[in-house]
Amino acid sequence: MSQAPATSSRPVDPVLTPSFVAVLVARVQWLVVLRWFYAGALAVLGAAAVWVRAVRPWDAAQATPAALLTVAGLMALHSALMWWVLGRCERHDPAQVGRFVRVVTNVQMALDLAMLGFLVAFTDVWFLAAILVFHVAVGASLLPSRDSYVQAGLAGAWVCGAFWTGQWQGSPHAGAVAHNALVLLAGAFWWALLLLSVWFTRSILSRLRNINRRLTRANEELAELDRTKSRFLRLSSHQLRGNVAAIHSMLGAMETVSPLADRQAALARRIRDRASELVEQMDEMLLLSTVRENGVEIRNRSSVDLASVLAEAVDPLKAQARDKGLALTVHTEDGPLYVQAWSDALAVVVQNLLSNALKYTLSGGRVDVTLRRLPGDRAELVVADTGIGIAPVQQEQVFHEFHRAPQARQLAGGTGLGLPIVQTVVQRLGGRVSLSSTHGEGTTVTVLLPLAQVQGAPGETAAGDTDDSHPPTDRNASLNSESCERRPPQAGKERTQDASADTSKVEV
Amino acid sequence: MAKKILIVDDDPDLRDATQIMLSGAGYEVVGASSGAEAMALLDKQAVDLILLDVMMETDTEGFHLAYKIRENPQTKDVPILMITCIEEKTGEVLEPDKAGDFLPVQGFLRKPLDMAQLQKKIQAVLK
Repeated sequence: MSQAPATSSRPVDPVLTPSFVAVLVARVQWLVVLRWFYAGALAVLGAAAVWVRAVRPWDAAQATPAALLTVAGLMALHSALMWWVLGRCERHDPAQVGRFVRVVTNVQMALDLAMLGFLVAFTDVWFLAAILVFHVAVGASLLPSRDSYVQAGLAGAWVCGAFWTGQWQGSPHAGAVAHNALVLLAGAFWWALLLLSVWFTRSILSRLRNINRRLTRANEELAELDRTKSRFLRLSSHQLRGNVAAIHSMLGAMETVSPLADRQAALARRIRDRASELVEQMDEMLLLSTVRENGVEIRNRSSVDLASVLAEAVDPLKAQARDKGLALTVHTEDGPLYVQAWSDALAVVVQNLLSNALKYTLSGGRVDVTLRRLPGDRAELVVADTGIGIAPVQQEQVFHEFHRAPQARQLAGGTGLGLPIVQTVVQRLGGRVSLSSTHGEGTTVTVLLPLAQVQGAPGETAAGDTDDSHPPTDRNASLNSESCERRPPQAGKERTQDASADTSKVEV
Repeated sequence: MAKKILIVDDDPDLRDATQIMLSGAGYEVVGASSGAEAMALLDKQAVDLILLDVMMETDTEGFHLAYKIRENPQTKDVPILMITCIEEKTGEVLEPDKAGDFLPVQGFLRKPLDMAQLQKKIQAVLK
C-alpha cells in the first residue's frame, strides 16, 4: 500500500510513548479479533449468495458471492498475519517497537479500508460505507493526529473510487451513476463526513486526556501530601512525646527527692496521671500514623501467635474485670494461631478491643472472647460484650479518628483512636473487621485475619488435628448455645435480625 | 557497695530525672549525653549496668553504642537496657521480641520510665 512508507518515513512522534504503544498494540489486537468476526460474517453472506444464485437465478445480479468470499478470505489472511506480527511486537520493549507498531497499525487500517471500499463497489451494499466512519473514528482514537487524517482522506478516496467504478464495464452497477456532478457532490460529502469524524473524535479524546492528566497529577499530589502529613504527625508526636515523658519522669523524681505535703503529692499525682494519659494518646497517634505510612508494613513482620498475644492481653485485664463486676470469659482452641504481623501492633489491636469491651460494659455484664481457626486458613477473634451498645447512626463513625459516641463520652475517657487503629492494622495485615451492635444490649466486634503459612512450627499440626476432630458445625452450635445462655430471649433473633431498626452491622 | 549505673540519654531532663529516681533507690548513677561521652566515661570507670536511649543524635545511635560497648573487652559483659519509644517498638527500628536475639542487650524499657518496672528490671538483670 502506498501510504505505509509515507507514515514510516516521519520522525518519531513525541506521542509514541511506551504506554501509548502498549495501548496501541492491545487495541489493535482487539480489532484483529473483531475482524475474525467480520470475515466469518462475510463468508456466511458469500455462502448465502452462492445459494441464492443456485435457487433464484433471476436475482443473481444482486448477489456477488465471488466478491464476498474473496474479501472474507483476504480478511482472514490479513487478521492471521497481523495477529502474528502484533504477537511479536508484544514481546519487545514498547519503546523500541513504537515506530514499527505505528506503521503496522496504519498498514492494516489502510488494508481494511481498501477491502471495505472493494466490498462497497462490488456488492453495491452502500450501508457498508458507514463502517468506514467507524474505522476512521477508531483510527483517530489510536493513531497520532496526522496519521488519522491521512487514513480518513484515504477512506474518502475509496468511497469516491466506489462511485467511479459505476462507470467501469463489468461492474455490477455499470451505468448507474448518470451525472458526474452528483458523483462529485457525493464524494465531497463523504470526504467531509470522514474528516469531521476524525476531528470530532480527536477533540473529545484530547479533552478527556487533559482531564485525565490533571486528575492523575492531582491524585499524586494528594498522595504525597498525605504522606507528608502523616510523616509530620509522626515526627511531631514523637517530639511532643519526648517532652511529656520528661515532665512525667521529673514529677516522679520530685516525689523521690523529698516527701511532698499531702496536697502537693495529690496534685503531683494528678499531673502525672494526665501526663500518662497524654503519652498514651500520642502513642496511639504514633501507631496509627506509623501503620498508615506506606512501606512500613513490608518490613519487620514475623509470625506471631495470636493465641499467646490474646492470653497476654487478657491477663492484666482479669483483675480489672473482677473489680468492675464483669464476667470475662475466653474461649480458645488448643495450639497456636500464627499470623504474619508486628507483635506490638497485634497486641494493640487485641488490647483495644478488650479495653473497649470492658470500658463500655456496666457492672454485672459479660465479656466473651472467642478465638478460633476458620476454614480457609483464617483466624477469627470475636469480642462480644453486653455493654451499652452503639446506636445504628454511630456504628460507621466509630471507625473514624477521634469520633466518640455521646454515650461512650459520658461513660469513660478515651482518645477515639482505638477502633481506627484496630481497623487500620487489621486491614494492613490483610484482614477484616466487622462490628454488630444492638443499642443498649451489647456490641460484638469480629476480626478476621489470614493465618501465616508456618512451616514446621510446633503445634501447627496439632492445631490442624483439633480442627479435624471438631467439625465446624459443632463449634458453631456450641457458640450459639453460649450466646443463648447469655441472652435467652433475643439470642436467636440477634443472628438473623441484622437489618432491623436497632440492630445493624457494619463491615469494614 | 552501691551498684553503679550509667545512663546515656541526650535529653538532660530525662537523664536527670532518671538519675534522681535511681539515686533515691540507692544506686550510684552517672550520666552521659552522647555516645562519645559514654565511651570516654567507660574508659575511666567501670559500671554495673548501662541504660541506653535508642534515639539520640541519630535515630540509631543507641544501637551503635551498644555494639561498641560489646566490642570493648573491658565492657563486653556489662548488661545494657535500651530505652525506647513506642515507634521503635512497632517496627520502625526493630522487632522487639527478636531484638535480644541479635542485639547485644538485655532488655527494653519504654519511655516514660515507670520507676517500679525499671527497678524490677534492673534487679533482674543485676542478679
